[in-house]
Amino acid sequence: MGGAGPHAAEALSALLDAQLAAADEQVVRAHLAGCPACAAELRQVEMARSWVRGLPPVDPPFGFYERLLDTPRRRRWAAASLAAAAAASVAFMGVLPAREAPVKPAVATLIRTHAVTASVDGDPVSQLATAGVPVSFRP
Amino acid sequence: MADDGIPTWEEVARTYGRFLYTVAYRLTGNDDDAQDLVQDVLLRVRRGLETYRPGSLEGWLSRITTNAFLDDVRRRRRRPLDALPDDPDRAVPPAIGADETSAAESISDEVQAALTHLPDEYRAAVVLCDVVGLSYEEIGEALGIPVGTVRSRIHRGRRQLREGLA
Repeated sequence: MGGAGPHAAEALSALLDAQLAAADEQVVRAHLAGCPACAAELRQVEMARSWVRGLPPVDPPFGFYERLLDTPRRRRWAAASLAAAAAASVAFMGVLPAREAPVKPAVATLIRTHAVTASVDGDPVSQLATAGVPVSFRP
Repeated sequence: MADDGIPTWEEVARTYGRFLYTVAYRLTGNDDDAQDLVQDVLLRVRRGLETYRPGSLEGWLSRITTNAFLDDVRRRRRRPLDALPDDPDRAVPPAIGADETSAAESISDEVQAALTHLPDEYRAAVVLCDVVGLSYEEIGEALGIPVGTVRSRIHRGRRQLREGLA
């Protein structure tokens, strides 16, 4: 039983909170039965205790945690997608043939198509393009 | 949850966000300081600065929160100029007109104001006991003080609170 003087004092809150050893609890209860001052104090602290216990939960401002978590998470996601892209390109390169394969583009067809479209008047882009076609390639 | 059982800070925010904010608000008494405190707690969790012992996550988080709060209080005490709030109303929730809020909200505001006026160490013990629901032994461990001191702080805190609301 702690506290000042002959009164139960600080043991009163511990009594309310069921934090006293059985023997101490008996002593405090016996004291309370004959001490109006301690009985009154018990009622006072009991009231204060119930007020604090009755306080409701508090919600954070809207979006508080989202804002808090946003920046680092975005950074991590960016890092993760970079890593994934790197891994994907490595994997892609892995499936490519090791040696260069010969390609046969249909050059003649491409030139013919270009010459036809470039001959249409009125389109400045096409007109410019005709200047780049060597005469010897005309069909 | 990470492999070692320690929750990540995202998990803490997602699952215990409201609990954490409530403890921070009850300790600091206003939104600005509660937000700073929660941010500090999440940083401590993220940096792995706080030892996690399997058990009540609420107990672990409230221990971190209370210690972060008291660390900040002590830092301010060492720099007395910082102890003065910029705005005198900041430490106490602004008075709200009776027509703007319900009676229950008004009582909560008064109790919070009285709580905010308690000495910081008393408030920490009262919040851990009556808001979080820790035992005296757990509070002693959280604050690094003997159980007898916990008992005394809680009782004196409640008595002052009652006097403040008389």
